[in-house]
Amino acid sequence: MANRHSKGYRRLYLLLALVLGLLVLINYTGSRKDFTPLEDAVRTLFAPVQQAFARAGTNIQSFFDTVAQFQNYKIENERLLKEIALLESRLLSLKELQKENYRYRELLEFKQNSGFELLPAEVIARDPSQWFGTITINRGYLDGVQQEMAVISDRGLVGMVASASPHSSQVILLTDPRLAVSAVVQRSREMGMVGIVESYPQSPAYLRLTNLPLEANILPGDQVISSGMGGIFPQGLYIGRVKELVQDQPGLVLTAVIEPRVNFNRLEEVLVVLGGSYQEEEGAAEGEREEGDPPVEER
Amino acid sequence: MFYPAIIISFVLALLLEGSVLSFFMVERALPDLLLVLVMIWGFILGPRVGGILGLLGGFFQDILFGSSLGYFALAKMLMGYGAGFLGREFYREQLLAPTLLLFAGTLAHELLLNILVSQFIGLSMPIGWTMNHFLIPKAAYNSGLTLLLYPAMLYLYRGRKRESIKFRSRRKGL
Repeated sequence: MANRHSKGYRRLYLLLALVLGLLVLINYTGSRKDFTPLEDAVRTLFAPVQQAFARAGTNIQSFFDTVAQFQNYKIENERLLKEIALLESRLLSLKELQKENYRYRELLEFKQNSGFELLPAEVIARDPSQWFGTITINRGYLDGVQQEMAVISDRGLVGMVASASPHSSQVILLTDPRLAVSAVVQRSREMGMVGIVESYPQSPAYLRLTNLPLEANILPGDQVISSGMGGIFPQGLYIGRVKELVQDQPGLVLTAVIEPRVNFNRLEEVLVVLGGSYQEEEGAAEGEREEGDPPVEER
Repeated sequence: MFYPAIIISFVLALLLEGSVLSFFMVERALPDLLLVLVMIWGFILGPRVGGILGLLGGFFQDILFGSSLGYFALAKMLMGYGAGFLGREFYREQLLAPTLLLFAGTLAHELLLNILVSQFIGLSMPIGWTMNHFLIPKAAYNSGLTLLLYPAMLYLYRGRKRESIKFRSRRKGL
């Protein structure tokens, strides 16, 4: 029992001695300027390890920061995506307006120079089938549009009004097999060499000028324009350029493949020919038709 | 191998405290992993071992992070010894005693350091503010760590004890 007590006291004295020793150490090392060699060695030894741990700590912090910020990043990302989509749509509509502006300028210029009384119209629909080439425009008989009026664009002849509703009209395009236009070669303008421009089913992007006599003065690259015969289409409207000449099988007539300048698949604005100088020529054209020239401009 | 493993765990604890754990600050408090280990081992192994482990661990902390030697050695030695002293009064299986002990021990450790720093360096912190913003969160943090670490450390101790008994009985048999 006494032994146990003395052991306890010994421990207590030892503890007090340690405490005292440590207090002296604190006091002694508090004002020092240099470390002991042992401290230097320990610090030198552990410096690379501490560095590695610090790097790991930074990586872990970065990871947790990312996790903590994930919701914010997500919200920010969604906001930016919406903004991008909005800006893209604005950019797209601006580009569209720019293009539209350019087209209207060309149309306006064409309208001012053409001498025709023209009514601008917008294409609001097109026949999706491959069999017919018709478009719907946003002008109807209340705007002055009538059946069989010519429809053109600044690039040339487009087609003819097939039917007119109060506020819209159906336009039959040159590429439609139901429409044919009498035409001449601009270079020669030989009225005896009037052919018929019609669709070219073998190659829908092209037209063909048929019924040309073998001796016709026509060459690849020649410009083809409307002859004005038939009374529907004004004379001198540009149709296209001769791409190549083909003889029919019996070898009696020539056919010219025409590359139209109008892109019928991309029509967006057109002009309806209401009247003007064309009306004056109409009489002449009709007169010529009465003389027995074959082309009739709608089949 | 048991005691060297404890010393290595102390080194690791200090390295973690100085790096990774510093990013897990709650309020203004960081966990004192070394104190948790010292006090738990003291609670399990008794006051003598607790005191020695506290002294060694604290001394190492002084060398690695402090400019003056003895602050952490003294504080941790007393905490290790105290945990071991009180540990004799409780059953080791219950988790509440070491958890509460760590809470009180952390407060005592920090207050002791506060006294030492104010006495030897002349810096003193307002006790009310320190208690609310620093000491209580730190004590809670360390108690939480105790809940996680104590069962594992007790399991290791029991495993080591079983091995030791087997070894002794084999020697007696021989």
